[in-house]
Amino acid sequence: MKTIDIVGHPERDLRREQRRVMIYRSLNVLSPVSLLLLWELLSRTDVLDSRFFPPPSQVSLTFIDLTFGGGGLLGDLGVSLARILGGFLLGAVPALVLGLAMGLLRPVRAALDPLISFVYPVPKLAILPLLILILGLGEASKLAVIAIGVFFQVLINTVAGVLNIPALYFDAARNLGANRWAMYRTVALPGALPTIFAGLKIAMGTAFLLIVAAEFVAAQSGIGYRVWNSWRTFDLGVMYSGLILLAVTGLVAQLLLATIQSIFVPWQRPDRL
Amino acid sequence: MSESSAQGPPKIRVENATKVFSGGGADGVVALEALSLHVRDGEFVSIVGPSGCGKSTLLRILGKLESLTSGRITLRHDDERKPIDTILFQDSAVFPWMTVRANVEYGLRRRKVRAEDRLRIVDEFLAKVGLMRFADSYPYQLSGGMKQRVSIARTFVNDPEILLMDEPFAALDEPNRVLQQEELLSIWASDRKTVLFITHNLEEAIVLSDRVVVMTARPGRMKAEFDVPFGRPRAVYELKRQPRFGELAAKIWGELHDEVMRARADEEKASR
Ligand SMILES: Nc1ncnc2c1ncn2[C@@H]1O[C@H](COP(=O)(O)OP(=O)(O)OP(=O)(O)O)[C@@H](O)[C@H]1O
Ligand SMILES: [Mg+2]
Repeated sequence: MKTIDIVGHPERDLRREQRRVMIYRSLNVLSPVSLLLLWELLSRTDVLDSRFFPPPSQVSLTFIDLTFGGGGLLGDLGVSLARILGGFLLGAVPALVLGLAMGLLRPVRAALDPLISFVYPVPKLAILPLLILILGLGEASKLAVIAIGVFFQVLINTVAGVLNIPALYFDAARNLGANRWAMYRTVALPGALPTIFAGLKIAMGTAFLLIVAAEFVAAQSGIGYRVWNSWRTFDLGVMYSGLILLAVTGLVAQLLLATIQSIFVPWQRPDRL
Repeated sequence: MSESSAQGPPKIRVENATKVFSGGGADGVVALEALSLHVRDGEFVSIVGPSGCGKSTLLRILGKLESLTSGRITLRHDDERKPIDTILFQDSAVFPWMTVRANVEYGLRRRKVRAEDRLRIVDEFLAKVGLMRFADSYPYQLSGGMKQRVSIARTFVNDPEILLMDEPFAALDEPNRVLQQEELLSIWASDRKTVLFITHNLEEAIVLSDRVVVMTARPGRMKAEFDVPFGRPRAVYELKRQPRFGELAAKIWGELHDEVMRARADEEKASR
């Protein structure tokens, strides 16, 4: 015979969640740090060719110098960020409005669905030449390519978000006297917000991708331009510094979105964030 | 509302209501077939019937959430400042993105009730359902029974002329159910709304109602009805101990049992 004892440990039980959070946090930090250590080791022992893969310690010195010294990387980052932010807003705001309308109004959905399914799969970079042709080499074409990429991702997630709201909530709202506008504001929008934020996060990643690619081929400024240019002149310190800067900025953008989400979606269970 | 209106035409008049849902077989699902029912102003009527016989469908049609295929339904709207009817849904339809307070005041906000009146009414009902302390909580922080009480408060706060209640207490534990039944009776006694109340619980139907209606298996129509002879006010637990209570329950059970068996037989035939 076997007995199973379940004994209460007040201390342990209460601490458990805190400890879990700590473990996940340290995993967050540990995995990139160990990767960096490995890289450092392999580069210093010349397993990796240190001309192509300089050790992180050396890269970070160059990085600090180029970014905060006279290297001007921060200025380029600013230029890129302005493009990202502008394009992001230009794409996300109309996508949100249209997405809610499509989710809520079946005729709008029926009319636009085929169009969107047709355009959505086209890689947005493929239309950059067309955009440059129409808008020229200046800022407009870069804003446009980001806006278009962001637009579709936010749109599709917003529509999905609205369609996934259980019909019961719309029924309850209507039965309690909600008109169409109230339905938008009090059911469709808040109900779709978690999915909308998932879309915004993906779209932010897309915005980074698109701006760097656009700056590779058609810019004289911006972080993407610097990375591309330094590669051509074999100035790998600048190239790696640019990459680090992009990674850090991307991370900050995601954290920012997550913070905004926790403010706008306070009803989401904390462990689902 | 004037005295004479109580003698006027019925509050709810359902004549030959038929509802066919398209899909599910060549000619769709016939949920209701030629169902007729009159409910007087201020009457409390319970509907019992086998699962799937169209009870919720009838309520949704009355709440204008579903269309009627054929037949006619007439509702008498006496005071147009109040909503005509409000449904208390079978599954908790509490909005997860709103606090308890925002949920409860939802109907009042839609009707643009002044903030101070809103606050007063909502506080009164939050206290009645015992959720004052949770006014600012979100539904994910509540138990299933508490969520249902939010639903109940939200419906009553809306103050409709007709209450359409779809198994409102099914998710509650027994003590809370009795409490809510008595609470419902006392709220109802104070303003005598017309109530259509769906339940699977025969005792609940008898305890609360003036009349209990039994529906047939799908397609739903009226099978039998029973007047409940007990006076008011009623004390839920006292009433259940009376011999006449048991006799009435047995009679209703007899009618219902036949239909439940028939529904099951139909189900088995269809699955073969
Ligand atoms: N939107 C719908 N589309 C198709 N069929 C439906 C729809 N809603 C309900 N039905 C069908 O109509 C019938 C009646 O459903 P209803 O929900 O009214 O039953 P009910 O009497 O409330 O059952 P329960 O006691 O289990 O809640 C069922 O057979 C159901 O499958
Ligand atoms: Mg039902």
